[in-house]
Amino acid sequence: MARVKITGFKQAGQNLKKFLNRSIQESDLLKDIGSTAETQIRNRTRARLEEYKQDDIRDSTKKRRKSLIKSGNSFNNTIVKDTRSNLSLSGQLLDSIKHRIGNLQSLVILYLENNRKPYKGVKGQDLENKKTNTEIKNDLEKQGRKFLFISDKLKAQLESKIAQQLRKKLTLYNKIIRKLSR
Amino acid sequence: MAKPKLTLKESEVSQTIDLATLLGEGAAKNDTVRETFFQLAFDRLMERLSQGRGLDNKVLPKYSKAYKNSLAYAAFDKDGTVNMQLTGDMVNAIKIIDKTKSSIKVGINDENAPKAYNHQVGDTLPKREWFGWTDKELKSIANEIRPEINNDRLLSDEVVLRALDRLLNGQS
Repeated sequence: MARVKITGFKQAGQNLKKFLNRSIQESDLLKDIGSTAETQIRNRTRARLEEYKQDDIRDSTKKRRKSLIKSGNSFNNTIVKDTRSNLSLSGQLLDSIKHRIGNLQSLVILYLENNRKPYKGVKGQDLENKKTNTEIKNDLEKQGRKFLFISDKLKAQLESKIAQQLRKKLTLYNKIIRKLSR
Repeated sequence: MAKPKLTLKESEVSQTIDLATLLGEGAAKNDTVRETFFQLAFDRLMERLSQGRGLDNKVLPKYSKAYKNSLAYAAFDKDGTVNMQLTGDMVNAIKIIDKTKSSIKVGINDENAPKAYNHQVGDTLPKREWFGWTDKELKSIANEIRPEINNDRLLSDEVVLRALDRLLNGQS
């Protein structure tokens, strides 16, 4: 990596830090990271990929899932099967993964929205809906079914996206993009 | 148009780009130029893929019926465009693998390499030549960059380069 001599080191150091913090805090970068993480966790879990692949489901759960699917609770018949373990039935749990940006700390926070609707019964009536998405997640985690985390592959992808966004901050890159968009 | 010379191995899919010939020896050594060239080349590849086109702008063969009916296809809500992206891990693994004074080697040499290789050569998957840039494309990127090269190093660029180095190589 090329080096430059920077005079007035203390001030320059502060400027460097300010620039980097500003770059990392810029909401377009953080939004891109947050939205990628959100979508990727959801889709990888549904597709049963890598560490997001869940253990097989119990026979009693299969029975209940079959009945709920029959009552029209499946959000997508290609993704949802009574015997398939991918934390998907109505789609609400994984759809509830959202992100928010903590600008001051350069943080992207993933969380679950707790606005769960009840399942429908055979006659179309609302079934009991005691648990929030967060409570369901906690119950699942106790059974060893984790999904709200960043896998190694996803981490690599997020790092690549950060690198792309950093390159797009180079003066030369911006000059060319401006020229091309004229 | 002659096909570019690619390294095609299960452990590496890459293309060496001779920046000294394209931009001159001085510019080829400049890290800002290298990173910018790479990003512009990557942007072009992604733009092509978003239109279902691969190397030399050729239309990539369509997905099979079995793949279209698969769980992964539905879970990732794919729309039929052959963009070589399910999770996106493979395309996002493209990076600068190596640098010399005159060139950069761009490609994939991690766990995504076997998949990239199999797609490119049609070994165990349908052949889709998705990776690489033709000479014409590289010259066109060089023509955009050349007039804008300025050897004055800006503080902000130094920070970006340092951050990139830390992120990609774990060095400060």
